[in-house]
Amino acid sequence: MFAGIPAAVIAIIYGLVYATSSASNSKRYRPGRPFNQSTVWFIANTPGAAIAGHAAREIGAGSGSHALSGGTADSGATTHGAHQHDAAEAGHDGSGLTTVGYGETGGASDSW
Amino acid sequence: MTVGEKSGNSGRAEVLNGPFTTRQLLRLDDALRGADESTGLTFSVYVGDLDQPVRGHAEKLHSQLNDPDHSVLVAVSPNLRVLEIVTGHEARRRVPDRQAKLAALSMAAAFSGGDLTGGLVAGLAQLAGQAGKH
Repeated sequence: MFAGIPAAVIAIIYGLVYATSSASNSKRYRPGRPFNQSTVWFIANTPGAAIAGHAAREIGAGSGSHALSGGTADSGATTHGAHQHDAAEAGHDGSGLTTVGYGETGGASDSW
Repeated sequence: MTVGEKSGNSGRAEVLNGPFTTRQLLRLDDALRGADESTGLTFSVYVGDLDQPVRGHAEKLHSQLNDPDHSVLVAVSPNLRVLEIVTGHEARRRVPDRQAKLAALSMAAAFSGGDLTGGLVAGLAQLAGQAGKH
């Protein structure tokens, strides 16, 4: 009894912790380990916020990538089609996209 | 709001397979919406692989936004462990490069601890605070 009850309590707590952490940690980013999650691109759900061209488009280098986009009612906020390279090229093919040439942008870079 | 909700496709289900949990997505949504509404700029977050040169790829992504001049893109590559903040012409006047670098530093500190969501939310708040009210 003196060994069985503590062992049972330990087993229950271990089981609860393992069950909850394994589900929540499956998406956790661990620096230095391969990151195999889908590519995502978010913009807020505010009027006028959309990705040029096809209102909002799916981007990324793989079939699993997708965009989470707000967009407006008139923009439709539909996606699909463009793969990453298509989307990148669309910015320079004169198809009506507003482009910013290199050197006109600012910002910063960092690494960890 | 997800694309899937709007268009009726499986976008919502797909985005849930991304690197963020539902709770984290809600935090990001709040951060993005708050930043947009308070500043009048368009903030965007990209998390995924970036091609070399990383800066050039981030600028291409930024150029695809509806109004690049008034947009700020935060592009993060967890595999390369780099992040890029791209500000458009007008956004750059509101968020100088030095302030963007400070936000990048704080985001990188959070990312190095494995906290993608916390870093993004803090960075967006920092950028929005610097941009000020519109």
